[in-house]
Amino acid sequence: MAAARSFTGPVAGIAVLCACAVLVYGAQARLSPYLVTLLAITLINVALAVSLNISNGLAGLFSLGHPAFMTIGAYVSAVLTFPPGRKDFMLPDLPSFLMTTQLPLLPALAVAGMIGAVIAFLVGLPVLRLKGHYLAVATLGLIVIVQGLATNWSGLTRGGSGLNGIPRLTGIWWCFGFAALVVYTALRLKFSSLGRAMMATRENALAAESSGVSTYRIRMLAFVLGAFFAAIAGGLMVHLITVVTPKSYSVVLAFNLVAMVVIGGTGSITGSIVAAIALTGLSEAVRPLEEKLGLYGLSQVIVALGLILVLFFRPNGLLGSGEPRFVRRIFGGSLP
Amino acid sequence: MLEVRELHVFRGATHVLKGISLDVRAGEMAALIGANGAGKSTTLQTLSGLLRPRSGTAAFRGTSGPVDLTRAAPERIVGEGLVQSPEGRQIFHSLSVAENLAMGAYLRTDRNEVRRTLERVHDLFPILKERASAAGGTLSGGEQMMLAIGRALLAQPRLLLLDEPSLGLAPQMIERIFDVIATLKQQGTTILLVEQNAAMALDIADRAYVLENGVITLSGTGPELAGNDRVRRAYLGMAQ
Repeated sequence: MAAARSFTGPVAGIAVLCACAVLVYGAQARLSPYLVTLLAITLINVALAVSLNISNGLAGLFSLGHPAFMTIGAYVSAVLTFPPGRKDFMLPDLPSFLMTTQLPLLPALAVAGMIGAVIAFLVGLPVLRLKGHYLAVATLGLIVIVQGLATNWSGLTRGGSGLNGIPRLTGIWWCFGFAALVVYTALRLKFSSLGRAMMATRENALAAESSGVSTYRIRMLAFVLGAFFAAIAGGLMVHLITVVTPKSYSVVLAFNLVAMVVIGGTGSITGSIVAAIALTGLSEAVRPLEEKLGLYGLSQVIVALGLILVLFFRPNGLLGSGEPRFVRRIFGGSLP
Repeated sequence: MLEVRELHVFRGATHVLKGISLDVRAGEMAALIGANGAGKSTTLQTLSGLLRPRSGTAAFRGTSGPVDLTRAAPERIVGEGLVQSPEGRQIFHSLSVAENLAMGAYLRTDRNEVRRTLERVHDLFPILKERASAAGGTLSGGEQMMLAIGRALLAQPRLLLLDEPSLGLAPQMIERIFDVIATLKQQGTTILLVEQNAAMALDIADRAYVLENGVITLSGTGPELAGNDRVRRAYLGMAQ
């Protein structure tokens, strides 16, 4: 029985992955470049919502910091991948060791993720020791700080006009691979002893401590992991859109990501995936209507209304904190 | 196994424990009785490393040697075998019964050993096996208490701290829980039991302490205290 489960688990998981890959392949072959790019952005949003669900859902933190980590990741990977010739022109004041380096995308993203993780660690060091929702305030502050730095540290960021003409190194397959990696990590985590410790910390910190969990370390791990993925997502995004300004990723995005997590169900990875796809598709679908009627910001209103309705009728989100049966069957089974 | 000397603990500005001393020897069942607010839970939280004392010592003979409970991190204390089942059950409501139990074994790495402990817990509380996939929050109060004790047992305690296991339970359920506690003691688990229900606690305790306003006012064997006039009047509800 146990052997049968461990055999079907990974096989079923790989089958799901392949099915998604076939869909992406079909989409890439058939759809217009605009729709393919939209699909790539949707996949990045899936990764963002799922990674936010690690800290906000599994560990029960309330972080709004994703846009800050994305901005950091975006600038870091943009500066690292610019050809030196273009740096001379756009960023003449760069320190010389940055001036001459040009990294391929993958190492640049890795560096971006690391820096995002280090910043998250430094923010978490004091804040995660406190009880209550101080993290929301601190991460909100972090967004403002990062925007301020990006605007004023012009030697590194070219100030308010931002960076453009960034090489378009990302495609749909990069986004697909990254989203798959984040989803896989989150689900493996959720059904592991470490993920259980995160949920236990969220449910009842005192009881978790009594079971030998260092709740501070667990919260730190969840927060840093979420930030790591967010910074990489920022890097992917910037190589897809090819432009970044200090205002690219703002509080509005933080709100949208939190809405995805809450609507899908805090703690439900599948819920975040569904909500991220739905909300990204929705706000894009509403755009022509916004232009025709002159009602700019309509999609924001719809997202906010949807959030209120979900909180009213299904306070735990569409899927609560659980996963559908087939997901549990693939990833479950780590209990003694 | 546990030696506490002159422990002073503050909660904010309040001086809760005013120099208490107590001992628990290997294999015995000690009871700490007292009224609401006497400092019983504060004592246990200090022993678990969740609160830090202002002064005094608390030494525990752990799995790998002596542990200074006034300095060690909570997770280290659990790892050394001093495990608490906290007041008010404190189970994880949205996690399943099986996941709640697995959390108890969080620091243990030998899966086979864990499985053996799990079987033992299932023998003590068969209901936990029947309802393994139910969410913890859907259990009745008595079942939640069993789950809380079972979770603590999965940490393989050398010394088990039980904080008010009778709290809010029906009399019949209290009997069952105390039967299990007696069984645990017979099987060789050292226990420090904290109770307001003094009659039940003194009945099964080898050694007992009376805590009043942060001071230990009486100590002795269970029967000695049960026969003491002051205890009979103040805690057992008996007239002279």
